[in-house]
This record gives sequence, C-alpha cells and structure tokens, in this order.
Amino acid sequence: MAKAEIILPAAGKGSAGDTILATKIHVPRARSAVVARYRLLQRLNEGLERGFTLISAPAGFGKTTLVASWLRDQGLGVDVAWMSLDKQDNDPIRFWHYVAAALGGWRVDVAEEALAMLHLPEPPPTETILTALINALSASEGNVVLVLDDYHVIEAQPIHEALSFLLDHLPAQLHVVMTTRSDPPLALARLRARRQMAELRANDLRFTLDESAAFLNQLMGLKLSSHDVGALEERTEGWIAGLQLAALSMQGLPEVAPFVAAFTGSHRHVVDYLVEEVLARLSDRLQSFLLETSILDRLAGPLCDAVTDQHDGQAMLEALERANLFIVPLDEERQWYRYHHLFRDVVNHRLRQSQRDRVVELHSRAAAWYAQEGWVEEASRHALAAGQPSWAAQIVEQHAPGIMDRGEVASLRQWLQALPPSLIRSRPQLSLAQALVLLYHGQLDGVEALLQDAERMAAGARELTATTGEEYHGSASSWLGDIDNAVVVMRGTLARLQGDHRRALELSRQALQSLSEDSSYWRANVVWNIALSTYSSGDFDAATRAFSEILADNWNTGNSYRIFYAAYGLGRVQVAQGRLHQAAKTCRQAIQLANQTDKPLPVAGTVYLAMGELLYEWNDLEGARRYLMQGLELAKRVGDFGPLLHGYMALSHVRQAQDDVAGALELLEEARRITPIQEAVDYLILPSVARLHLAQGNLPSALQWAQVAGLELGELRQDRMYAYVMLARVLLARKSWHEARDLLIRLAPRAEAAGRVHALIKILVLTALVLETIGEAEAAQTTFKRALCLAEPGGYIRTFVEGGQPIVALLRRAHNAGDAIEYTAMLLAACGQPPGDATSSAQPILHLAQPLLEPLSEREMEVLELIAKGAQNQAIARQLFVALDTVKKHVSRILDKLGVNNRTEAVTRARELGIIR
Amino acid sequence: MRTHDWIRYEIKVQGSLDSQWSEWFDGLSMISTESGETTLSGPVADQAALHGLLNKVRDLNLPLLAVYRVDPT
Repeated sequence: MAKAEIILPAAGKGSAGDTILATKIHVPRARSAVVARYRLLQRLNEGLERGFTLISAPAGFGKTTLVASWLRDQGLGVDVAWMSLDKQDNDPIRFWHYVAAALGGWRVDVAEEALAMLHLPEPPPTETILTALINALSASEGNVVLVLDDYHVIEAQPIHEALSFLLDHLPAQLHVVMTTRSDPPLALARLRARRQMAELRANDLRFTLDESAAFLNQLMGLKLSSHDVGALEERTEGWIAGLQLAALSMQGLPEVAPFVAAFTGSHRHVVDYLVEEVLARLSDRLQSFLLETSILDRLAGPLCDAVTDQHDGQAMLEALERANLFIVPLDEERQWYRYHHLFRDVVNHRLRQSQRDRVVELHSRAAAWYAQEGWVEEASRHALAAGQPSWAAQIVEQHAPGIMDRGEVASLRQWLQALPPSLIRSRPQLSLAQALVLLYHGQLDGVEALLQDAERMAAGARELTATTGEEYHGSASSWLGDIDNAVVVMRGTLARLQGDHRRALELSRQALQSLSEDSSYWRANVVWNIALSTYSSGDFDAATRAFSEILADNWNTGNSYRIFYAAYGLGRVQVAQGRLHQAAKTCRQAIQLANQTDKPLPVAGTVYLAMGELLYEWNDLEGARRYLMQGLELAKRVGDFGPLLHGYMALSHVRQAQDDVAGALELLEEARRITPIQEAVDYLILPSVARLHLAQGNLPSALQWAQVAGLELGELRQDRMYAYVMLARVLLARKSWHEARDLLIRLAPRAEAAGRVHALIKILVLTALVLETIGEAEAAQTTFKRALCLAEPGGYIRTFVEGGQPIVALLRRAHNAGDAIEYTAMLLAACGQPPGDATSSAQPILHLAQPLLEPLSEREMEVLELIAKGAQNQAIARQLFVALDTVKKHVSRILDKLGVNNRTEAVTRARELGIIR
Repeated sequence: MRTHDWIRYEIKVQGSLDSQWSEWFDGLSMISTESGETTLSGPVADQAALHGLLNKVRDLNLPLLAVYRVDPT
C-alpha cells in the first residue's frame, strides 16, 4: 500500500474516536458546591509561577475536584487544556496525540504541526514532535495550563522520558499540572531544588476539622455535633472520599449517633464498610443499577439500558449525579459519565462477590451494544472480558476492511493493540491486519512471520473445510478467500519497501492475475505497488500506465484520495520525462477536482506542490510561491514526507530566486526536521543547502558538503542524480573543470538511458558551461544545442536563467547560429537580455493558463460576465439588485482571484482560462 | 514457572479487610488483627505481579505498612 494511505484518526464527526477524544479533554465541571479551600487555592496560585505543579495523593483525596474548581471557577484568566488519562494512553503516539489535541483545543495552530507529525506513518522522534509543540507555544500569546489527570496509570518509560524533556524545556506560556496516586518517575528532586515545582500531597489535601465540619454540616446538610465531626474526621483521617461516603450513609437517618459510634468503633477498611452502608440505603433499583454498570469505563443512557436490560438508564445517571454518588459527567450535554475510580472498584468488587455468574453476561451485553454502535475497540474489550476472544476477534475482523478502505490505519492499530497477541496470531485475518499495520509504519521486521502464519492457517482451514465440510469461523468478512492473494500483495509491498523493486513487481503482477474482481482493496494496493515500483526503478512507461489506470478507476468513484495521489505520481513521472505541459495538465485536472469542495483533502496539497514546481521552472515565481505555500499547508497533514520534501525544496528555490536566502535556508531546515529517512536528507536536502551556499558565493561551505557527503562515484545510482549534479556544480565553482566534465560525461548517458529527460537537460546545460570554460567551444555548442532541443517542448526557463551570465553567452551564440531561434530569444528575454537579432519577435511567456486557486462564486461569475459586456458598476448593481458597494467588493475579489489589476485584464484572463467566452 | 515455584510474600496494610477481598488480591489469604491491620499473604508469580498487587493496595487507599518476602523453608 502507498505509505500515505492515511487520514487523521478522528476522521468522521461523531465517530467513536471523536467522542472519546471529547470526553478525555473535557474540563470536569466541579460540583456546584464544594468546600472552599482557600489555603490550597492560594498555594496553587502561587505555584503558577513555577512551571510544574504536582498533586500526589492516594485515591479519594479530591485531587481532580480541587484542580477543576481551581481552574474553572476561580476567574484566574488562564486557559485550560485537560487530559483525563487512562491505561490505554500508555502508547506514546496516542498519549501525545491527545495532549496535542487538548492544546489544540486552546489554540488550533499550536498543535497543528505536532499533530501532523504524529500522523506520519513513521513519526519522527518524540523529541522532535515536542520541540514543534514547544516552539509553537513559545510563539503564542496568552497562557495555558495543561492538566494531566491520573498520571499514575502511565507506566511507559518513553512517555516519562518525553515528559521530562517537556518539563526541561517548558515555555513560559505553558504550565503543567499533574494529579497522580504515585509520585511519577521524573527528576522531582531536581525540580524541587530548582524551585521549578509546586507540590500538594495527601497531608495538604486532607480535610481539616473546620473543613470537615463545613462539608458535613453545611454542604451535606447534616446536623452533627462538633464531637461527632471530630470523631469522623479522626476515623477517616480527613480522607475526603471517606467523609463523603460517611455523609451519604447518614443522610436521612433519624439518629446519627449510632452510626457514628459503630463506624468509629470499627477497624474495618473505611471504603469497604461505607460502600456497603451507602449501597444498603439505596433503592433496590439504584443498587442493582450501580452494581451492573460498574463493569463500564464510561456510561451513557442507552449503553446502561443495554447492560441492565431496562429503559431508565439516563434517568438513573442523572439521579446518581444529583445524589452526589461519585459519578462524574464527561461532557456538557450529560451524554457521557464515569464513576469515581475508587467507588467503582469497590462496587465492582461487590458485584463479583455477590453475582459472580452475571459478570460475564453483563460484559456480553456491553460488547453487543458497542459492536452495534461501531465502537470496535470497546466492543472487543468487553467481549474479551466476557471470556469470548473469538467474538472479540470477529468484531475487529468485521470492521477492518471498511476502515482500511478509508485508510485509517491508526484506528486499526489501536484495535489490534486491545487484543492479546496470542489471539491475533491464532487467526489469519488478524495476522494479516497486524502485518498491514506494521508495513504501514515501516516496521518491516515482524511482517514475514505474520504472513506465513496467515498462510498456514488459511491452508489449514481449507483442509478442514474440505474434510469436514464445515465453514471456517463462519466469519462475515470476505477476506478469507483472498488471504493467499492478500499475502502475495503484501509480500510485494514488503519487497518494494525493502527496495527490491524487481521482486515487488513480480509479486504484484502475480497477484493481479489471481485476485478476484471484487477484491477492490487489494487490487488497488497492487496497482499502487506497481506504480511506485516502476517509478522507482525508472520504468516510466509502466508507471505512467499504472498511474493512469488508478486515475481512470477512481475518477468516478470519487475516491479522491487515490486520485490526488495518482495524479501526483503521474505528474512526477511526466516531469521526470521532461513533459512539463502534460504534467501541468494532469495537475490542473486534479486541482479542478479539489476546487469543487470547500475544504480540499490534505492529499490534494500534493498536486498543488507539483503545480508549484512547474510554475517555478516556467519562471512564474509568484504563482509558484502561492501554489507551493497552499500545497504545503494542506500536504502537511498527509502521512507522507516525500511530496512535502520536494515542496520545501521548490519553495526554497523560489525564495532564493527572490533573494531571500535566509528564508530559503529556513525552509530546508524545516524539510530536514520532517524527513525521517537519512538517505533523503543526504541525497536531496543537504545538496540543496550546498546549492544555497553556492548561490551566496559561500564556496567553503559548499566544499565542506562535498567532502562530508563523500559521494561514491564508482557506480552511479539513479536515485542520487540530484546529489551528483550538485557535486558537479561545486566542482565547477571550485574550478575543477576536468573533474566536473568527467563526472557530467558519465552522468549524461545514465540519465538518457533511464529516460530521465528532466535530469538530462540540467546535466547537458552544466556540461556545456564546463566545456565552454575549458575552451572546447564547439563541443559546448553542440551540447547546448541538444539541451535546447530537449528543453523546448517542455518550455524550460529557470534551468537556463539560473545559470547567469555564462548561460547568456551560450544563448546568444545559439540564437545567432540559428538554433531554436524563438526559444533562445525568449530565454534571453527572461534573462533580462535583448536578443542579438532585432528581428526576433518572441515574447517571454509570462502567463500560462493556470487553473484558479480559488474558484469564482456564482455571484462573482455573474458580475464578471456583465463586466465582459462592458457594464459599469452602477449598471451591474441595478441589474443584480444589489448595492453599489457590494458590486465593488465583488469586483475587487474577482481581480484578486484572477491575479490581475483591472477589469480589462480580468476579462482577458478569464477568457484565457476558459471561464467566460 | 509453576505455582509452586512462586515466591511467598506478606503484605501488611492498615485497615481491616475481610476474606471476601481475597479474590481481588489474586487469591492471597487475608488475616486481620484486632488492632486494625491486615496481612495479605501467599505466592506471587513475579515482581510485576507484586507491583500489581501493591498498586491495588494503593488504589484502595490502604496505607502500606510492610512488604516481606518469605524464605521457602
């Protein structure tokens, strides 16, 4: 599969992923009435001056309530990004995704880059992602508090390390608050010593006698004597959960004295004792509701109904909330709740004690509800808890094909993480799915083993069916028949990713033969493999066919994802072949498609980038800049650094051409940051930096690159062409003419044999320059003529213009010799030189018919048509029944969108583009 | 490692918990004293299991008093 088949995990609105995210970053609403704890609030406020606040105390000390009420209700004027953590967040990608999302909820742009990086198939090192986040925060205005609630559930060492990194580089705008039951394994002693940490611990959080009195008598409406308050406070040691449970037990009791006496006289564990008391006082209905729903991590009315087999779920939840029964709302709409962890643990324990045999049944009901709603991860978890691993597996298997069609590999990965590895390996479809996930993330190591397992199991199942006539698994998925073919396809992908293109093609073609008609997903993968492998191995004809096939197949199904990617691929092939106009046409068509929606898919950015590169070559620097910037904006969110890399390089060329060398360097730095593959850095980015150095006249730095790069010139590799050409430029600059010539003379035939006209043109131009310099004028002229001949059909401009004065001389000579007269005249004009021959009438090609970045609205079209008929603004206003001002605004927008300065130009341009007749 | 290879630990906590909680704590036996302390004891599979048990103790807010490893004799 193309490494880039991914859309952001929380794709569809209202998807399970979206809902979970919303509940995790929701700032808990503190209960309407809490005991005012000024002394603690004051310490928290003071702690804001330090970077990090740690609140470390066992369960039931009111940590979350304290932080929530402090941040929400104190009018501090700080913004809050909240993260409720749970065990599943031990996956670093998931953890930082949620953190970034929480911060993104504060300011969208702060998290954009980090989120984009997290969604790459091979995310860069966490430090890189965090640096992006830190930088974005440093550049923001305002302050935000990031709350990590329940950090004790995090055990993954990489997360601890990354968090340490974050705390070490905390920007002033960010303050981190952590609540936890155990001290986190961070360098706390160091933070304390440097006074970079504020701390609240159990002793601080205990209710004092006064606070206990306030809580019990004022808040809970009991009328306890100070003696009783004292006794309870002593028994519970100010433990808030204990006091709360005690209060609940006492509500409605005619006489509290017996209760207090019994409670304080017992050694029984407070929670155990009190939960029993509380439960005993509840109605039967409420009691059984609590017990049954204690199996759930999150509660919603319909879910509770399914589990309890009743219809009053929503009412129950709201009643529990009103009664202060340890239930916490997870959103504003009162759709989702959860129980306080401690309370839930104890109630759950009680359930296991009293109704052990029902537990499985309850989990089954939960699993069924979740499965029906499409919450795959939760469904499979409950199925596992119900002791039914096959069911859990089936749920995942059922939903896997759909999600892969949408390219949401991240979701598939999460689903598989919830299943025990032994379960995955015992089922062919899951093994296949796991292999897919690994392949996608470039973790090639375990893939072959999984594929072999899947193969073996499928073969075994067929045998079984053959002998017993029984259907294997009776699974709803249609994959089974195609497991063998799927394995071949994936082996092909594996080969491609390992760089063995020959084998990749072999396997892909084999798969194509035997795949059934309706295996659209695997077919699409095969064609992808063929397209990318043929492109990488330089078989441009086959690549063109493959990409064209993908375009044709998908154009009507509207799988725009594949369309854009194929258009990008086809465009690149066409460019490599020097067929610039065809490439532009390919991009144009795709861009028109993108313009049909308000929010183009991120992947559409790739064709904008390709268009930008073309415009640069055609010397339309402004146009190039606009397309490249828009393309980068979009493509950042795609899971493939390849197009981005080329985009950054192209934009850096544009900046260089506009004399912004610093800006150009910045872009290359950025490119380097997002590129996880060292080869790409070595053979594309670093040479680009050297190019900048040369342009600045900084020969020493360029030489240094050449030396450090240590390019092996023994066997010249196709995928290093750019670096070789750059080396030749450096040699040229160093005046090592003969070395340069020797290298170029070897490169040319290589490029030619591979059909790489684009590269060949540049090589020939450079060769001509060298030959000219060493006095071989005739050879120079012949070579240059060849270059012109190859370049003219595509209309290459920049390649020549970049060469400066030496090129001008060559152009003049060629022009005067009658070689490509019009073309050379145009090139000379582009270089700012008049042609030597006054009779030439060639005009520089400044405008090419480019598609609009932003299409005209219907209204704007109406106005434009009237303008074309010669109407003045007043007349237009009258005809369209709008105000004059409105017309002026429309006109101004039209001029903007068309990139022109007046009405006449607008009409000309619009006709050029075919927008009006 | 089979069960009889597991190592016996004793975990002492503050507060009385009756034997009904035994299942919660991986089947360890639970003995409470008059003074309000409980000792959980029994075989534990490995260090990870031990830390899991200690987490459960933590999560129930039972003050941890002592952890002993019992030498097999």
